[in-house]
Amino acid sequence: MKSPIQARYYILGLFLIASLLLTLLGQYLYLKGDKIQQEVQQQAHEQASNELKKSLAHIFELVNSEAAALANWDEIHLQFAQPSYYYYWHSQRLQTSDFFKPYYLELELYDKNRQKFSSTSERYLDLPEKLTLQPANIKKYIQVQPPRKEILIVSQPVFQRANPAEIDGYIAIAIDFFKLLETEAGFNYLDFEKLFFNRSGIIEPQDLFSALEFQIIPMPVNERLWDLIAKSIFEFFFASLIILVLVLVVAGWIFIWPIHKLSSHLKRLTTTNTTINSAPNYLVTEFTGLHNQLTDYHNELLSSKAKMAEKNQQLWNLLRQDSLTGLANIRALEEFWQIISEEVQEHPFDISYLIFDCDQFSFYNKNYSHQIGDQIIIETAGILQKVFNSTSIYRVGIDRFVVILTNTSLAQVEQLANRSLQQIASHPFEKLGILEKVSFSIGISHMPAKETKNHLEVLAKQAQIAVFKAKQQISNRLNFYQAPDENNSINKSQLTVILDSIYHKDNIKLYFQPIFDLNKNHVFYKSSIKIQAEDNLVDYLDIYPIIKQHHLEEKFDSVFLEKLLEKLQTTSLDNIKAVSIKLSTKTLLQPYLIDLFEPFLGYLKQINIIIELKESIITQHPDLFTFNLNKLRRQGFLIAIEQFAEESTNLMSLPKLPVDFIKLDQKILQLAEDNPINQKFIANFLKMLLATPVKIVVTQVETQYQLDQIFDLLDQEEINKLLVQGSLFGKPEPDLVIENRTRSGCREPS
Amino acid sequence: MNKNLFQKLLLFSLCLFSLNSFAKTIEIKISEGSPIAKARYSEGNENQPALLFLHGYLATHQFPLIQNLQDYFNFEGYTTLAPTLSLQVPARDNSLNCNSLHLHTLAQDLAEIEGWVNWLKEKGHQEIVLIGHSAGSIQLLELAATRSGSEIKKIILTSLLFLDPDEFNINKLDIEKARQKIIQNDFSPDTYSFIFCIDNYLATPESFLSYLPLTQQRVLDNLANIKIPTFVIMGSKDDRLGQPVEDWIKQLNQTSGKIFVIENANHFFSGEHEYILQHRLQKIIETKD
Repeated sequence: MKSPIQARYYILGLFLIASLLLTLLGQYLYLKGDKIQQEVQQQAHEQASNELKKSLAHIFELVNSEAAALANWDEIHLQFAQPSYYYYWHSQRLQTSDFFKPYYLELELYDKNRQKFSSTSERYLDLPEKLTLQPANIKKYIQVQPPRKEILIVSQPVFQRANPAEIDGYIAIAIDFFKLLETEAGFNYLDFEKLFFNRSGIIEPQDLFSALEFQIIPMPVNERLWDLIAKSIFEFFFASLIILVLVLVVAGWIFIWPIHKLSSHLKRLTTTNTTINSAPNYLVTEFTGLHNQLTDYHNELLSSKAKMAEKNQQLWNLLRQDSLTGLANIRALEEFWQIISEEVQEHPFDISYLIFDCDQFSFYNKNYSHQIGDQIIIETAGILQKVFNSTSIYRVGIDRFVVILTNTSLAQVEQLANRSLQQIASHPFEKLGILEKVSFSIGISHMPAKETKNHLEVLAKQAQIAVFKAKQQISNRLNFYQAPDENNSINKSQLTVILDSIYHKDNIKLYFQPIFDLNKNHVFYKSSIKIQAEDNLVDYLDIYPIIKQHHLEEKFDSVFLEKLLEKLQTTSLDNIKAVSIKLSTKTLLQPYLIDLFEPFLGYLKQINIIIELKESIITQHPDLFTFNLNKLRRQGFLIAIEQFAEESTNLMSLPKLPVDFIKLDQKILQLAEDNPINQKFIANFLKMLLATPVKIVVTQVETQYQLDQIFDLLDQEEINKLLVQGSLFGKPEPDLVIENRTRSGCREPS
Repeated sequence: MNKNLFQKLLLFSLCLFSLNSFAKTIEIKISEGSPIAKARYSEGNENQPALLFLHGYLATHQFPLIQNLQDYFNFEGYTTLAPTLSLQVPARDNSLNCNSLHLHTLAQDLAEIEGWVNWLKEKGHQEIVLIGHSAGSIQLLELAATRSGSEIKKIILTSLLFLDPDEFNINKLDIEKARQKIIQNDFSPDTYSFIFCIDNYLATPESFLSYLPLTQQRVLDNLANIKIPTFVIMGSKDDRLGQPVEDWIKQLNQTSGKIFVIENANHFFSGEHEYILQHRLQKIIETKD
């Protein structure tokens, strides 16, 4: 749709069109009047022409009669009878007689031989000495001699009275043609003063009309009338123009100006955020009403807008505020992070990214109710607000907080982090009825100002990695992400390589770490993946946070399974008892989980394939896992629970679980070092587990000392049921290396 | 005026147009070298005298009084002839103006009248009555007084006048001028005062002077000497004379002519006096000597 046009341009257009029409009308009237005048002039010209023709006919008739009368005049006959006294008659009598008309210039008598009587006139010599013409009767012609000597020559024979057949002589008259016309012809249309001959010389009567040029009498009335009409047309035009302008001005004043005023008012309303109480002043009631309606609408709109702004603010707050703790949520963090990212481009500054993750939070939720879990989060939030002075604290997960510190040195960050850990450790959570000690793991990444401009985007990932590692640590819950070892650090380019590798299944390397059956010397292998990123071989612990952040768990797991399948196809499986694989929770929850393992069915006769999963997944989705895991187990797959008893272990449900292996982290056993009660508890706990059909695997056995701790807690029979995993027995290797290791290969417990 | 007269006048008036058809124009040439003369002629009873009506000075036979008299007497059965003196104009139709060129002389006029009398005589009219008006009366009297012959039985002179220089607008200086011109053989026309033409009478001296002998005394002498019965009819109100008409009538009465005066009539017997004149003329004509 075309852009609308302002009302004043319509008015202007209307004015131009009306002016154009008015001009055309005026021009039409003027041309019409001019045409009428021309027709009148033409008609007058025709009348003048007719008048001239009639006048010429009249004067010819007149001069004919006059010539005839002269020819019959007694005194003419006397002159022919006695011409002796012609001179006296001519000079003294002729011009005094009534026969000699005022327009006669000369009258002469000619004898029968056409010879003029003795020359009598000195003044006029227009008549020839001898008539050269031989007229049968009256003869006329016009003699035109410029500049203005137009003479009508008329000759008339005079017949004898005694013998009418005989010619006595002739009369010739020289007549002032124009005087004759002036005297005898009246002109109403022809302008006698402008009547003239267009040629000179002798002009015959039949050519006389064509030889005359004439003009019509100036018709003052007609011209005056036309002047008046023309003046009236112009007056009409200008009056109409003025009226039009006035109408447009009035219309503009009544309609356009109010519209403009309303438009200004509306513009003012759109740019004003305050309530307006203006008293409109319009000539038209409707405009006043419209003005008031707009004002009212504006005021109501402002009111609604204010309410909506308030609601929006509330909504904004809700959207950016964690309802439980009152802290900012992950959305607020994202927006704040965006701001930070833009600011560092202009003014780089130190930034620290701290992730607080509650240890074993699901345990509290499950064993003390969600209300208690929520209360733990609320009180922890309060602690963090106090420590970090209520700034830049975000709740980004159920049990996870992020604190952003700017322009804070690493030492200060560490100090604040330790203080917060101390505050949490000393906080009386027991008031909530919690018997366990509530602890948080903190992952910290710090980036000096000079690096923020180009590497800020990795800060959050680094913190995630840091917290992930912190949670792996036994004692220190605080972990700084540092990249002193450049081989393990993940920079941006490496991140890209990792992601590309997952998508394109390149640079992915399978690693296998052995698990020993201390009794049968059977070797199991735990498979894991490393990715060759540039010059670094990135470990799974560093890869996993990236995968999780990019929601690539399923993709990664499918690649993992594919690579494992390839390995099984290309490797001799003799003497290999089993291979375990740990899949992400997301993949394990997929309904096609069964299908993923279908390619492995053919290998189950040669090797056991163990699927590792977290205990919490089974407890949170018992029905689904019960179904899927039972089906997998019926097909021949084995199920292992890793990190057992680290979160919310429910011993009552353990017998119901479709589990073949339980993997215990060696750090649990370290609890036995604290006091004899713990030692007894841990020993009995292990014994209890070993009493079940489930195979027990102790992981993270890195040192002989740790192995000895296990041996110290158990008797020989129990030890024989145990399986161990750790660098003490073998680090992850790229190939399935079959090594026969025995308990004797290890240092005997002291 | 008796009843019989009026009946006749009425009948005359009704028959005027029919009478015109009986009248005809006669053109004759009196003599070799003279111009053609015209006259209106109507033939009547042979046993009645032929009447010759002569118009006044410069007039024609179409002069109303003359024409009416002719018509009346035509109606009465008279042979009538009303010549127009040519005044040297061939077949003159119209009266000459004062300023017309006058070449004619009294002698030429009298010869022309004589020619018409002779023409009547040649037509077999043995009795002719001459009836003149104004200057025509003088000319008829002059002719009759000097003419021999017996065919003219009566002369009736109406509004008779005379041409005395002192009496009739005739300037003696003009006469002298004309005479001097003749002495000097200068025959060129000149303007004179003559009768009713004041200073605009264009005439040759010969023409001008030819009429001057017709003085009062000459008229009276002619009346005294004439042998033919002569009757004079004057209007008592005639003011065209050089002297009061009463004086002139008195002098006329002293002559041998019979003088009749129509009371209150002017020089031209206008109005009812014309009928009285006709009646008087008829009585005179019909009266046996």
